[in-house]
Amino acid sequence: MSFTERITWTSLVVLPVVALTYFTVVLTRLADAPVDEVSWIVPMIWAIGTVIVGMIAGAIAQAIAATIASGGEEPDTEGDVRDKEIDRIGEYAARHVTSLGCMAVIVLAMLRADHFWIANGVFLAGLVGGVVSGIVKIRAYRRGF
Amino acid sequence: MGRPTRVTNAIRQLRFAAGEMTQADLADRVGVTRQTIIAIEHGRYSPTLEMAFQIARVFEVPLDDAFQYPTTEEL
Amino acid sequence: MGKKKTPNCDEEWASMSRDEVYNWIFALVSLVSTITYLAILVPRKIGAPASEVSYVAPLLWVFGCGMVVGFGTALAVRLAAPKDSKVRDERDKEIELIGQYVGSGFVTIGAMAALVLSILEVDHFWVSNSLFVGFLFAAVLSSFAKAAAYRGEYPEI
Repeated sequence: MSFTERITWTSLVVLPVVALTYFTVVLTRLADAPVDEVSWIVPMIWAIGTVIVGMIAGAIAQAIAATIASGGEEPDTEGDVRDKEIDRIGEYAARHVTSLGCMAVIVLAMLRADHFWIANGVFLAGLVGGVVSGIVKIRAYRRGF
Repeated sequence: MGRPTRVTNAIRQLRFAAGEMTQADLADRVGVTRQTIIAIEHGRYSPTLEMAFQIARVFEVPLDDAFQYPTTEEL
Repeated sequence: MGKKKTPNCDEEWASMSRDEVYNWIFALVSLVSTITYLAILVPRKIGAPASEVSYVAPLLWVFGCGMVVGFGTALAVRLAAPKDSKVRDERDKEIELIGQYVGSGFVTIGAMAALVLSILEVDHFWVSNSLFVGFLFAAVLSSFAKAAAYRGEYPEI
């Protein structure tokens, strides 16, 4: 597996786990309280922090695994022509999710909706986009393109 | 970045040799737009390996006759 | 037999596929939109607190006019263009991939800024505009990158 593929697998673990945990917490809070009283900021910061820390830790772990698997060779972190092509394919596949999500958020912001909806809208669009692009990339790696 | 490729080609010569085949005609046979053939001939686009083979097949020549790549000394 | 053949002169160098023409239209529209929007927004913002800037109308106008002009011109091109047997091939798709990739950076920056700003609960003005301007810049950057790629200059990625 190329290093970039390993990172993609890592994101496909980190992102869904964080998304499920975070939205479970926040939606249960939303069920009990009106929107402007839900305390969502602390969970959101935890979620973002977990994604960052999770990806860094995952990248380090993958780098170690890759070095062991190749018998002491340093892994190519940048990616070769194929990795970059697959990265483009992944981004392209997620374009509708990310741009529609962001357009919805612009509309919400213009309507002065509660910041809760805006922040969670962007966050959700980003997470779903990340997962969609990850899945498309893994398929490209495993099945060709 | 500049030119995307060091691959050169002899497609224009091959077209003239094949009864002055037009770019549009070659494009139809390979399944691409006329502008892509133009871009390939002008060195603005590097075709995929499959397209390169298809072009060579149209003229019934080996791949090396249609497309050239500098030798390791020239690189 | 007997068909008039197009002379292979240097004119053909400028021959553009339909997608390339659409891209030029898009590049022009997004550039003009970006300049117009910033020219309206920045003077309104200077000296005024964010909550009092009326940006919604300019945003919608710029977006709306851009869409109408863009699609209108594209439609006119489509109707006026000579019938080619193949209009969109793998080269067009490849270049579209490149364009989208180049532009996605700005969208990501705009989205991350919007996320941070809405967590900090700053005025909606900043949230909307970081996203919208991010989109505008992405549109300009991606269409310019595509225009260059069609001419043979591919971006370093």
